Amino acid sequence: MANGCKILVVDDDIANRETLAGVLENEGYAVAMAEDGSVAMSLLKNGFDPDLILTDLQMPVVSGWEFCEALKKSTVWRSIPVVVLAGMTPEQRGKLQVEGAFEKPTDVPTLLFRINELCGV
Amino acid sequence: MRSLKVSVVVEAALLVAILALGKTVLVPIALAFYFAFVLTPPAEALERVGVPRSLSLLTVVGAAVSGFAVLAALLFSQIASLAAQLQSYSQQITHKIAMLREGSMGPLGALSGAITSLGQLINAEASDANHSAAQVRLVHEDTNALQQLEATLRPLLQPLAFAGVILVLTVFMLALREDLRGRIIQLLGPQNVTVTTRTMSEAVNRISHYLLTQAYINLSFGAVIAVGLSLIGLPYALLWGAVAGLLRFVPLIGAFIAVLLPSLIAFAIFPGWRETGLTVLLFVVIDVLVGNFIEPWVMGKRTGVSALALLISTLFWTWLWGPLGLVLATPLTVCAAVVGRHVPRLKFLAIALGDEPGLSPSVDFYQRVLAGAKGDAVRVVQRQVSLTSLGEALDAVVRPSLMLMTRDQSQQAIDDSAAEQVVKDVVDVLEKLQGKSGPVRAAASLSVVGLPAESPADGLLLKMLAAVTHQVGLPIDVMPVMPRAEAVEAVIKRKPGMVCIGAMPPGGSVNARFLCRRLRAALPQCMILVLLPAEIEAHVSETAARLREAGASQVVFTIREADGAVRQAMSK
Repeated sequence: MANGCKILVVDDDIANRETLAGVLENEGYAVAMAEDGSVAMSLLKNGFDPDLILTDLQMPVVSGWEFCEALKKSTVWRSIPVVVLAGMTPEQRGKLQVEGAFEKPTDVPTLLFRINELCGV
Repeated sequence: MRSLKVSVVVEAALLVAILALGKTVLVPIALAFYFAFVLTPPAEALERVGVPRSLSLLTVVGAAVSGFAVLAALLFSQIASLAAQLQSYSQQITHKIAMLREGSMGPLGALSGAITSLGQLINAEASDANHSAAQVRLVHEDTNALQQLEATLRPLLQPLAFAGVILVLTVFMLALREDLRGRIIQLLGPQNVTVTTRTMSEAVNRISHYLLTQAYINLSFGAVIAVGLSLIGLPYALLWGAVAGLLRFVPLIGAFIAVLLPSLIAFAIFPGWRETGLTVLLFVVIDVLVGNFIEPWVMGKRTGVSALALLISTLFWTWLWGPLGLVLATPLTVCAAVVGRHVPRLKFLAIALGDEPGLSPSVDFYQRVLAGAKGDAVRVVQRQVSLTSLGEALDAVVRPSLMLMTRDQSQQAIDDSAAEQVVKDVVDVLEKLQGKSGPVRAAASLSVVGLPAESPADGLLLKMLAAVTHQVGLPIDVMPVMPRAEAVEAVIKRKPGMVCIGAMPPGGSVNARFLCRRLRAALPQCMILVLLPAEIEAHVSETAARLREAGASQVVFTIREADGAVRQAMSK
């Protein structure tokens, strides 16, 4: 059943994107996908208003680092919670101001718990 | 940029030079335009009732020319009579001044000195006139009848030719007005004929209405002055009335210039001060009545032109075209302002000459806050409060200015610390406003918490709402900005009957949805109101729908709507 939340999944690996989208849609989330930070930014600029962003860090064109930095600099998007799908040190997390970081392969129940928490579901 | 400014200056200088050099041609054209504007409404009225155009033109122009001729004849006879009396008036003035000198000192003495000089000047001119008249008689002895006739008519020929040119131009402009309008439209905006036609028609109607009304008002002003002066017993009342009506085209000071000569004559011919005082009083009372009551009532609240611009424009046209420029200044300024309002390329004219404020109240307020002029900012809101109410003023002035701040912040025109300072200053302004309006009654039966979604600006939005509901005795406990999970816990502990979430778009809506979901889950009976100012949110209906889906009971977009929702909840 839909819970009214929208999630943006940003990953250059199509298999990862579609697996995650399937899991999230089963939980009731509406999912939009982007293959890199540039495409994700275009979606946001066109008015897509997600409740949470899940992003990889290593991507072509605009990396996850650059994407996260751009988000946190913007007064429009800085309040969108961001969960990174890659291993990060606490310093790196603090620097990027992201709300979570999960190493691959990701523990799906833990990730879902954190997503539900951040979306207020 | 510099070359652009230089080219603008060069163009302006060129325009002024053309206007000055082309005076002989341009003045009759401008006067003909003026008369065409004034005579178009009566001509159209006649045509609407079925009178053919040629007959309507003949009637309207004939009536106008006859009126002018009668008026000119009357004025001419009065001027001639006045000229003959000047010698005796100057003697009376000299005599009266001598009496004043004997009887008074100080300022009155100084005034008498000034008037004596004037008397001497008049005497000198009268003596010169006699001398010239003697010389003319000598010349006439050697001329034949035809030459005498030519010498007599020559001074009259130029004004008559001038009047004839204006008359012909006016008739043609009236007869071919649609064609003329079409050509102007073609010149100004051939690419969008429909819009240009509509705006030009409106502009022409407005100008016609304004000029016609002003002509009627000034004519009536002159007539009332003439009647009043004749009741006082002043000679040449008709002349003074006509001069007063004509001078009233000069904005602000015209009537005061017009009072000078009649009061001087009254001073000269009446034994006491009563008639002089009555003359001055008549002008002042009638001008105040017309300027403050009749004009606003007949023309609407605004003439559309700033008084200062009108005065400067009068100086400019008088300098450029002399006395005719003085008469034409107001119509030309009104035309320029109206055209500027309707023709985008000439918008600068509307801004420079119009009577609308340069900045809207919200931009004005924002600019004052940015400049740190809190006192001025308070006055901007207070002005709006005096016209409407606190809620409406906050909606019209402060809320849009917060949006401007959010926009500036998102475009990085101001940084976060500058935005925080703006919010602090606006809070100060709000406190000053609140300090002047205590609660009407204490009627809090509902516990209401204000919860900022993300930023201090969201908190300010709620403080504005609290200021409005405070007036009906309903306090809103506005919480400080804190991490959203902590904020939810803090609200749950308070168990309020109603939560108002303030969320400045576009940034605040994500957190607002989160807060709605968590609060709805924890407090199912609680009324959740989201105040989401909407002007800069492009996807506002979708945002509101998602907030309702997240658990919001109601989403409102203005302070007044939020105030209404809080009052409604309180009444339940």
